[in-house]
Amino acid sequence: MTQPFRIDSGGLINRGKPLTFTFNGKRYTGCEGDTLASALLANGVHLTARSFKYHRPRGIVSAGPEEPCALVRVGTGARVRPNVPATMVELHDGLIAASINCWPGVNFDVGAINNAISGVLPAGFYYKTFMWPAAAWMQYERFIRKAAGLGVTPSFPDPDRYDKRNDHCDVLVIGGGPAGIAAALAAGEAGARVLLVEERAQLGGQLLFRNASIAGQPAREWLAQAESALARLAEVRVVCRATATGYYDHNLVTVLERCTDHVADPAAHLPRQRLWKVRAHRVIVAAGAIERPIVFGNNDLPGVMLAGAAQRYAAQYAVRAGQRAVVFTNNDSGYEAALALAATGVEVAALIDPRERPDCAEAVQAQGIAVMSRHAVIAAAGSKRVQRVTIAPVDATGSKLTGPMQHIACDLVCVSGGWDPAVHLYSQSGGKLVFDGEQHCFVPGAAMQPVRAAGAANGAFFVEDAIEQGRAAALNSDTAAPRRALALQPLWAAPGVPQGAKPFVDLQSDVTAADLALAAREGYVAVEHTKRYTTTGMGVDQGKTGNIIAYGLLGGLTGRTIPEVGTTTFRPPYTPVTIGALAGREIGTSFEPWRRTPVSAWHTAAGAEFEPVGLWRRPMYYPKPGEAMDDAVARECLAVRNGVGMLDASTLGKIEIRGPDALTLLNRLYTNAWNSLAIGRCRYGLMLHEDGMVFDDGVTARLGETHYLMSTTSGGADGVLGWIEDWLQCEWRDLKVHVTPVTAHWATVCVTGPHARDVLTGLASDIDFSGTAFPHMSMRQGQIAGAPARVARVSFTGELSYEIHVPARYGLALWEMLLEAGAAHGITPLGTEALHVLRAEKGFIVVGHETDGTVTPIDLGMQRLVSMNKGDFLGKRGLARADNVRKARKQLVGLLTRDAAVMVPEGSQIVAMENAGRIAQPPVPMLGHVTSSYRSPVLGRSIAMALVADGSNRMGGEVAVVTDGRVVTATLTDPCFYDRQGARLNG
Amino acid sequence: MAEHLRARSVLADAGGEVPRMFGDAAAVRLTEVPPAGAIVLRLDAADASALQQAREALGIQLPLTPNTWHGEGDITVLWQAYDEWLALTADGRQTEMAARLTQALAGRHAAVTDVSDLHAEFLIEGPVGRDLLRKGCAVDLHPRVFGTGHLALTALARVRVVLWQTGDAPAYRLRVERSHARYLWDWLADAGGEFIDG
Repeated sequence: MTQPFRIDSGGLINRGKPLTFTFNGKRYTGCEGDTLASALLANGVHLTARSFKYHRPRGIVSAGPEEPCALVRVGTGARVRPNVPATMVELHDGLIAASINCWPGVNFDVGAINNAISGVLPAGFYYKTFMWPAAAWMQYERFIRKAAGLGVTPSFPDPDRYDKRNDHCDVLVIGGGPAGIAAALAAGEAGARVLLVEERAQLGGQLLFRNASIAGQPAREWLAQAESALARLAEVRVVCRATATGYYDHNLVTVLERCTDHVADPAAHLPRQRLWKVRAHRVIVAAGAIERPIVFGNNDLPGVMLAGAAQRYAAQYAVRAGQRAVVFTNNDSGYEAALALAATGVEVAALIDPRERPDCAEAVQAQGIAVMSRHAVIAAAGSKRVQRVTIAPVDATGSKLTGPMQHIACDLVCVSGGWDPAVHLYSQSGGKLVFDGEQHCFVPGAAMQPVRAAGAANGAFFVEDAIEQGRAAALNSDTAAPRRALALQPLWAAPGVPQGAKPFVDLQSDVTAADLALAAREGYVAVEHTKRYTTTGMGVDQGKTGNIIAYGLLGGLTGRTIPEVGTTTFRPPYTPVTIGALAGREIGTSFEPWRRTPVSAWHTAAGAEFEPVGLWRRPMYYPKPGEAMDDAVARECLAVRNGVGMLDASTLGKIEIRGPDALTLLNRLYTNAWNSLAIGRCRYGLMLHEDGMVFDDGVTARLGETHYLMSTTSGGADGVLGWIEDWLQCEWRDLKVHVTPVTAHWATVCVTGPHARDVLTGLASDIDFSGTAFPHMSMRQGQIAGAPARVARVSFTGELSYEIHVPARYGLALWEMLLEAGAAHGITPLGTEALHVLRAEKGFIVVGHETDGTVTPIDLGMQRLVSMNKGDFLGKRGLARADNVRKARKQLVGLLTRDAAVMVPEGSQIVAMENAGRIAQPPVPMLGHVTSSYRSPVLGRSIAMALVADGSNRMGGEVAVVTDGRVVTATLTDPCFYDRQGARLNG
Repeated sequence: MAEHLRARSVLADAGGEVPRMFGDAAAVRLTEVPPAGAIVLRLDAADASALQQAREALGIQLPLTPNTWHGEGDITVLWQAYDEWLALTADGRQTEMAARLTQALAGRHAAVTDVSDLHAEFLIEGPVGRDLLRKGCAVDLHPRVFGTGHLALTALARVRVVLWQTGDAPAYRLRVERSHARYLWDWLADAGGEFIDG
């Protein structure tokens, strides 16, 4: 297959390695070294896309990441990439790509009707149209959603792997052009650890397509030497296909490396992309510059291209972007492009320049190219490809036509409105930008972090200046001003654009000069407002080519200079980052760093359903085959009430407290008094934050004279430890006490139920489990089956219960031994749900259910656990706040529905019952909400707990629970529903 | 019924190869280290005589430089904080070690706690060990800043670890809370997959 626009010689492509690819269903051939864009151009394909709003035909505008138009879909099925610029897609054999935002196809697109009705789609169209009636928004939204966005995301799980990498270096160099290479070389030779990242597949930057010489040496020769010099430096690492996407505090830079996107059949074990987090002592931004267009009528036609891009296609990719070109430039770089095009056999019909004739015109004219000074292109014409341009003479400032129009036939228009340093990352670093009044672009100003800019990214557009700046930045010496400036006369938009020829400012968002003018007339003159009102710069290209023109035009419309207009914020990422790369391997089973107990594998094998508790995944219940959740939970509950159950309680937080001031610490942490606790005994306590609100609870045992073991809630262990350390390290430095977290050191099994003691006495142990030797609320230490053990007799179910702790390595064996020892008693594993039912039957709170950070111990009816005369404790002052002593606060109550079969959902709102089972007309004052709600198997009815305003005074009264649109009548009761005397505990 | 409770490794149910090797000639090798005896020692580092007592009880000196470790014989002491060390010894010796320390430091502001089952310990060694760790750890492990004898209290794959370098190969050991051990092992095994020869 031929590539009709491929030049026979030159360029950096490998003609010996042809690659076949498919675009919009048609097969083409390109070469190794091509991008999809260069390969399409080599095949004469210019129409690549339809525009966002008007569905106008669009082509390839650039040769880089700034591409506003040629967005394509690459790949198929789950591997489809929806919105990628064809200019940055490396060609590989078998690549499949297609146009986006068009239906049924890019050549005939139904959505193009929007172009015909564009008069009714002005700037702010959505804001103006969809404002009223407000109720219709839901309808509007459907329509807007459908029109929004470009490509379609794949609907399958992403099959690829993504990686992350932390990196550190002395010097991070962003950009592998002449400045970046010089910087990396200089820093590397000085012994620094250097990381050089380059967005493209190879180093070189402008050296890959500009005809420069460096100290008399041809550019490509210099490049080859520099590359081998870099390779010899052991501490210099060069990574290509790696884009610095974000610059954060402390010189943290994120880099997206595309590891296998360019490979036809990547190995399955390699990551597709890798997100680097680079922490650099110093950063050198040498990210180059982006060419800006000049706005004229129909400047969006395929075939209208940036001049530097056409030059790159010719010189690097050996592709003629057209047969007959017109170059339109307001600066000297357009002349260089014209020469490059002519050298590769493109007929350059004319070079149009609004300026007076510059010196560089001579060389162009010598090639037989007509240079038309003081002229401008005011419009292009064509249907799906440019066919001719309209030019006219202009005045000295380029703001008025001064003579008649004429037409020039062409199939390529190369435009250069100047160059903008890629200041994005520098700005993200906090660095200031200043406007270079000579080259008419923003350049880096004062830095906020250890960062320097060099080369074109710093306004040094010529190779030798760039190299010098790179070196200076690396060696931290002063940067000399560039010896050569780019001669330029600003021209944002051509004057006298004919009626009907749309002049586009933002090609991706379809924003025209008229839209900007309308926005300015309507008062949207602050640049951030203009952006949002017109959507300028809001596409995936983030306005890399168009924003500066919008600032220029907005300045003209409002009588301001560009520095007065300012810029919009440069936010990360510089170019889009795949969500997969951000997620890395934190997906699927690694989504959270789940914690396991020593018994977890047994639970899984037993078919348990799990629920997250903090980072733990705890068995919620153990369904037998075919058993529903409710049935399983009821079975587990009844086993505990009538026989014996066992629970994996290893997740319980455990903290060792040692030291002569341990008692003082406990007295300050908990609300109750601890002085009388004897060795070997346990006590329950509540912890408050300074505001007087409950934040954790648990049982603490006294193991020795100055030695305690504190237990915390499963989810609260880290928080409690941090809380204690905070007080010990910052406020109570005089206390002689140490705390040591030991949660995972111990495996804990809770054996609970009337037969609990029978099970334990069957174990080989030196502990006396008899009721007299081992009373409720005590802890014993000894051995169980050869392992050191601590056993606490405490109860969260209301039944006789023991918590057995053994070192974690023995946890599974203990579990298995208890199963065996309890078999005769029908011992039943129970999950957290049954535990919650059992504790709710007893009216025991769960922090996080009955509390939500606004609940005091008094609200919970636990006044007896608050000792106001023991001295100070955390939260004591908070409890005395006016709102906390207010009468009629929400208080914990039990809730019994009139219909025992009805269970109210947790979270249901509770309101007053007016009369005869009716509630008042809305708005109805809210009395409280349901905090816990279960079916109690032992009581044979539903039970619930609730926080209700003035609840303690409403006991016995009826309230209405509003749930799922129904009103349920319920009576307020004491929250303890079962064995109120606690007889079962003391068996 | 078994007379003695049987000890289990955190990877008892992990399946697959243990240890795991990635790449030819073990570009990186990941091994679970058999359990050690481990004691958390809390002590006022400004109390020179207490330090001396601890040294005599342990038989080696406590590292006082932050983020370092020190080992002699079968005892390794890891710096944890200005007043905290983690002392490792052969499994089975921890009770005796704790008793010796407790006795030596009686009456002082000190705390000795057996945490032998609190962590699992992994060994990561081989030329690409650094590249494996940096996938999930933000500490700079370059030999210019981190070498044998250094230690870091950091996060690996979002979980807390103590990581210390034991050899120039490089070889690293890490201790992770036991409840996170299986997660971290699976994470490391997955991350190491990149180093398998294509």
